[in-house]
Amino acid sequence: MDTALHALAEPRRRAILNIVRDDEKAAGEIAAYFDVTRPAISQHLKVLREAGLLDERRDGTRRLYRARRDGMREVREYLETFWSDRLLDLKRVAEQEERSRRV
Amino acid sequence: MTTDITRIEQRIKIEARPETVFSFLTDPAKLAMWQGQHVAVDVTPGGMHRIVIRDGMVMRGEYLEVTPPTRLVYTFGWEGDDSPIPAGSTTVSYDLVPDGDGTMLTLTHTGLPDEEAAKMHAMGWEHYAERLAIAAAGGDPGPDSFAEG
Repeated sequence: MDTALHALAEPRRRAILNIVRDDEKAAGEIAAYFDVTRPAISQHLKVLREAGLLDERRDGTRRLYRARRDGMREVREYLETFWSDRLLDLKRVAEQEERSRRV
Repeated sequence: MTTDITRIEQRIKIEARPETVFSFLTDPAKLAMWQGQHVAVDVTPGGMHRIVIRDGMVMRGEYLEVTPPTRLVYTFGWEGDDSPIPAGSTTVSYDLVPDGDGTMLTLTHTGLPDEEAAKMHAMGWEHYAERLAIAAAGGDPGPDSFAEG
């Protein structure tokens, strides 16, 4: 779950998702938007793909990318886990204080 | 049956009185014990909260309702122009109900973007970016069509 948000934490990766939100684009076209090396962009694409936020399709020798439709669902799933972890932490610290008061 | 993907609700029983639990929602030092690393909060209606979870991930929003020890509501999002959930765009509420010696705490997170909303958000950005470009060039973007009806 954390992979989706880790992937989204990097501004360039969020920018890539915006670029391919509605239109499928080749890696080279995506790289043209940025002032960084092609391997750096390839690495970002790999992280986004592994986080389930990006679809990859081969067309001959080209690889085409598009934001995955249910990417938002992943964000929501991340939040589900985020909140349940936070609430368990809250329970732990609040109960600790309550016990120390009652003693 | 379909689930509402724009809403998250979670409930937890805490063996501590609502007053104790509420203090952990509002006291900055106590908030830091369970929420994030750097906590800056002004827990009054209209006050802001900003919590750094880690580099590049900052929660931010505004308090809407502060009713000790039963209810706390604030807007929520992550900082960044292209954040999947822009700061202030969603709402988080905590409801505290006494349950024996403890508290039943319900967290509700509403207004999460569905796929359509995410697209609308992208469209909205393009719309405003265009108007900004016209205004920046010294032109008059005219009345905002999005602001009407």
